[in-house]
Amino acid sequence: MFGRRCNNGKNKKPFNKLKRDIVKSVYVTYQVLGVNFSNLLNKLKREDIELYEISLIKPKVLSISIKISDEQKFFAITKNLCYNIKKVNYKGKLLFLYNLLHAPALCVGVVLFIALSILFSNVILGFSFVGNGSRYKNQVIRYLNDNGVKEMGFIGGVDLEKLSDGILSEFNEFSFVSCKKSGNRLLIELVLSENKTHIKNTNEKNLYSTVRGVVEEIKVYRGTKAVEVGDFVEEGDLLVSGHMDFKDKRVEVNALAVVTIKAKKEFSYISDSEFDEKNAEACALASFAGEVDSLSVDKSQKNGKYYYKVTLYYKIVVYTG
Amino acid sequence: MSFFDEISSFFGDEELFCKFKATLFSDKCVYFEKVKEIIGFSEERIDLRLKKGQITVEGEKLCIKKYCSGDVAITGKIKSLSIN
Repeated sequence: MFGRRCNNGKNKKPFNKLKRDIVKSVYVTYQVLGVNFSNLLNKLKREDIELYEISLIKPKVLSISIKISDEQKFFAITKNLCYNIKKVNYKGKLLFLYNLLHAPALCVGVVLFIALSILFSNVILGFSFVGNGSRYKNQVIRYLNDNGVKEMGFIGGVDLEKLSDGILSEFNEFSFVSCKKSGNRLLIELVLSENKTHIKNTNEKNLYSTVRGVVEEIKVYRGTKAVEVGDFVEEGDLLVSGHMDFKDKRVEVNALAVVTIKAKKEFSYISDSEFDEKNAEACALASFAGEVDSLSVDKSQKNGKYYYKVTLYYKIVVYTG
Repeated sequence: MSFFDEISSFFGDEELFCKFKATLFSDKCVYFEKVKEIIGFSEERIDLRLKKGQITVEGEKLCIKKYCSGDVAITGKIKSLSIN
């Protein structure tokens, strides 16, 4: 029991010392209305009150500062004297800490504010997407949710670099992904692979194919689709028409759609060797200089030469907007 | 040994130095030690009582920066100090 008391006392000592230092460094200024100020000053001095910044504001108004620790003593001495005393202000380097010590509600408020600031700095209120890959945001949000990054959720333990790398490896459509925290929002920059993108004019009425291939995915936000998934399209074929039918009425609009087409490109390679598939593939890939989904090699022989036909399959995203 | 003690031992009259001390910093500030009390106080004139006699500071916009345990620091534009 005694031991505990002693320990408590020891623990309180540094705090009490700090409290004393804070109190000693804060001054209070008074305006004293009256006459014969030298009597007052001498009386206060005799009572060991340290006086600072003594000046006459008006002939009968004296400004005087004392340490706040002497405040009670000051009032006890001046209570029976014929002076009208008005408190003007507090000053001192540690005034803020003094106010905290003497206003528990303010202290609690400050602590709460700091705690909430720290707490909410790790909360994501929403996602913001930038870059030309933003139209994949729904898919990316699904990926983020699957990986524990949700709106109104905590992001404290999430490594944003790993998250960016994860999105990049999950979606072949992007050439660059960056996740950054901007305030309470997660800023995600998505940049599409250039070889997969064909940007059409926003004001174009219809959306046409820019390549020859098979429609793999089609998303129409405005307009009417002219092809279905699996359809084979030629370059210049209409993919999405710039009109919409409402009952009996047809409205002309500018198409807003995204169509992914799986296209192919063929390369020929002639060799004397029967087993030169690898070289044929390498030459085809070097000539294409783009991202390839898959490839196939056909070999034939004619007049002692081997003819390799390398077919590269790749994706093109055609869209308006 | 402090600066004042050194001067005191140099002159050999310690009693002389025990009466009061006044240190003047340019014409902006004057610091007194061993002051008994303040007799009069205005912006132009401050009278201080010493153990023996009194001292008068005259000037403009005089202000007592500190007054405690026999020490008085006066600031302002100090024009004259007179000992009576």
